[in-house]
Amino acid sequence: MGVIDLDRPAARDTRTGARGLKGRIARILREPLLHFFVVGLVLFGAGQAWRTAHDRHRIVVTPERVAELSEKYRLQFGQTPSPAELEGVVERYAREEALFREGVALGLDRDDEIVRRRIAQKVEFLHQDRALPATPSESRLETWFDAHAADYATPVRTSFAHLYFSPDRPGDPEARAKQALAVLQNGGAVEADPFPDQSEFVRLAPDAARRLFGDSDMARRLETAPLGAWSGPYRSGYGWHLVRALAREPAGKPAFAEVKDRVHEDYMANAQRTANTEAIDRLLGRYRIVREDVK
Amino acid sequence: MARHWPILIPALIVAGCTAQADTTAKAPTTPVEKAVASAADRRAWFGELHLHTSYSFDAWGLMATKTTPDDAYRFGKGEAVSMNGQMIKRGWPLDFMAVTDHSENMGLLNALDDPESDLSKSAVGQEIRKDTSKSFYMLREANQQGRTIPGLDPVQALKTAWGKEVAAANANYKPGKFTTFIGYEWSQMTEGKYNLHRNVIFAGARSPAPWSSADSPKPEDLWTYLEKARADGMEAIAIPHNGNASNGLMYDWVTSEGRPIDEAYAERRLRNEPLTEIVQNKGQSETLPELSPNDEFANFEIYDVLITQRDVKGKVNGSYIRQAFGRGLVIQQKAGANPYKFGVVGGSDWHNGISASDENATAGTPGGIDPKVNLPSGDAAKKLLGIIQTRAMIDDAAAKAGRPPAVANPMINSSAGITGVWAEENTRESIFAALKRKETFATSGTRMKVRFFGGWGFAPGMTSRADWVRAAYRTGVPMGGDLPLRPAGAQAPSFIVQAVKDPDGANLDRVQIVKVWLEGSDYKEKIFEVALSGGRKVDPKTGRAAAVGNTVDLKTGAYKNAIGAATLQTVWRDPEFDPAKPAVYYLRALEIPTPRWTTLLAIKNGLPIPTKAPATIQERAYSSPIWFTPAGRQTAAAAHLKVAQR
Repeated sequence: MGVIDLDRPAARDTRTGARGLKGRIARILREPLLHFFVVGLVLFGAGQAWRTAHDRHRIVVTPERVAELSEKYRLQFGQTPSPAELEGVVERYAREEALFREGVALGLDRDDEIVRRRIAQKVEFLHQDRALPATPSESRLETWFDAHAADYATPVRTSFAHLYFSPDRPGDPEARAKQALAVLQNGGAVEADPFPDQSEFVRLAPDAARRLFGDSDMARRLETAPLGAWSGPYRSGYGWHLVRALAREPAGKPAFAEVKDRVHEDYMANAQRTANTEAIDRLLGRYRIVREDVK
Repeated sequence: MARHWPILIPALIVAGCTAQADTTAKAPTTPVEKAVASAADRRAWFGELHLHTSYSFDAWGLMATKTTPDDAYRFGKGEAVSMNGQMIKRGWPLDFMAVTDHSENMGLLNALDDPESDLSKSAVGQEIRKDTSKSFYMLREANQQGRTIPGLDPVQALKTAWGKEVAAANANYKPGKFTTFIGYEWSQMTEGKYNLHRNVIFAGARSPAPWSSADSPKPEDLWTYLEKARADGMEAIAIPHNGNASNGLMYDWVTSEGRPIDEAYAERRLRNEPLTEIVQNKGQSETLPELSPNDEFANFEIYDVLITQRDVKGKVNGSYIRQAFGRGLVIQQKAGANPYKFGVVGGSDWHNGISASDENATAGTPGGIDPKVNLPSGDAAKKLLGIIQTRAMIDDAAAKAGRPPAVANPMINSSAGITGVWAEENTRESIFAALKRKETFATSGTRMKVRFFGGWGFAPGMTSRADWVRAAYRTGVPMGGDLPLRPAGAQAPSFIVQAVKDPDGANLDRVQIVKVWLEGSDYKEKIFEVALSGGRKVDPKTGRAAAVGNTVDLKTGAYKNAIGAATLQTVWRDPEFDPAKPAVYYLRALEIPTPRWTTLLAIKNGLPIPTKAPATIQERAYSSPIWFTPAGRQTAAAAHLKVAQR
């Protein structure tokens, strides 16, 4: 490689004339060393610019950032900060930012359970409810309704009369109840003990029966007690009972029109849930999990 | 109440729903339902009117509570809710409920549960997160000094939180099935240690913003707030609680300004506070053995210390309800009106957002955990049973003196109480009306039902008639009422009592009537044994009856309903009636002995049963009273005339 003598007297240039100058410039331009320097300079400039923008030790406070800090202050304290207060806020921001960068540089974010979880939550949140599920057609809703009939079922309801046999009276109440049942089945009349609540109940559902009679045989077997005839005795939290079921509305499925609004609500909620799960599943699909622990 | 431990069944098990059509059923022949329910159709509904969630600053700060008001209502209603990562479900749904978070600092700290909230992002928030219990003291001290902590804006927090409280109450209201009330607790702690707390309960779907003790420490100003709300169409009442920890201030002879109670004060108090809470997690406020030496059952769930200074006993006089009934008569004689003519309710006052009144649920209180899901075991159980000593959460005197807090006594806490009301239907209108007319009773947590009627003409065998309730309403007054004017020929009032056992609980021991009457310028009290199980008789010499016995097996915690009765009822006539003396009558019903929560917890953990707490207790119900007031001479003549004209 030759050496260019940049200190060559200018007079000489003059003497060589225009053609000579041109030729020399052309020669210099062809000089690989110059190419090397130019490329180096550009790279250096770009590097400088990149470093300035990404310098961990250079914190830039933009007018937008200050406006944001000021607004946050207002939300928290109910008034805009005074210039002095704002100075303090900016200072605290800069301080926190410096510490944050230092922490990230040290990798403190990577081993922190809370930071990990928070970031994971944020990503999950980004993938939630991105689009409203399409409004379902009537027939689609009806299909859903049929498929989830159990959720809309009405409970069995029994209307009945009962006779009460109290353990507070002399004699075994169960035996007295059995005796009374035999008399009733033979068309006779019997006298039972006064019950401290109603002697007839209308359209009692199983949960209401449990509330009234306790978590007991009486509450459980009410829904299958034969209609129109005395049966029992059934044990309750109070003693023994004979039951004559007068009417029963079987557990049933309401008409679609009656529960349409609820079905629509449930359908949409489910669609949203499904969409959310699918979004996360798609994301996870891009990852391969290698289990080195499992041989 | 001794039930099985796992009453809260994991939701998964409960979810199964079988829908089996009965093909043999006839077309439903629904009998025509009555268009208008009458008083005789009133049924007993059970509810909770005193519960805190994470929106209460002490629950969040001291007890790590995360439950929201919405969670609380849904749990009360019987839905499965998530707690500590597990699904929990109530054993039996409540009929009605109010969440009553402290209005002071409401919603201030739980904002930290949301990482996006401004508080979470603030320096103060970060500071609190480091030591949540410190935040409680910081806030309380600031409140007492009437200042706020920079960065913690209670006004803004209250606004946000109250919107959510109201929304949760309204969203969970299912008329006919589950009634919710908008509510909060006004938490005045006079001199930082004497409890004057009141729960505010609203009748409808709207309410003004809560009033707090920072707005005014005087109950009279709370009444002004209530009166204003009422004038604006928002009916509301206040229910005082924990008179037992008020150092004599709750049922005092004087107003909060120290002036003797006059007629205007008495009428105002009664209008705004028709009820008071008689039993809850921090003991009962009925009476103490030292106030009622002749009451052999007064020694029950005693909590006679101050809440903020657990080793300091509060003043007894002026702190208990039975005495307040008597003082009310004395004041009425002097001032012309009775400020203490209130009915009673029971509550939990739990701070974990989970309302459960079963005996074994108590162990969950201090840590805000639910025992049926996460039963205290190991050291946690030992701490609750005093085997491992812990320090009191709050001990102001010690803090001031710079010494460590007093040794905690978790065994002093009771299981939760519960409120019963007699109302036509399970709606806001019907239940609130019952609260206002004081047709209420309280139990120490079980679902026993008590009826109590007063009148002048009840026939002795009346309760054996099928329609006796109808007749009782027609010719007498229910609990919470005033006896009608005494008809000319009537010798003494009679009372119908009925107690019905909890269908899932223990049998009944006895029903008593507690009578308090005016004697000169003082009052007297006496307990009458009116209905006893097992054919026992009252000893005419002592006026007492033999104990019912005790079936509790201290190895297993089981009891047997082999003693006691399923129901007790009678008509009782006051044998010592003096028509010249005003009197108050209320009913108290006792269950047979069952194991106390401390016993159940010890057995569950294979630990010795504590000797510092009773091994068994007799759960009880208290009715609202019925009052007798002698008519003035002229009024009596007028009443006589009216009767004659009929």
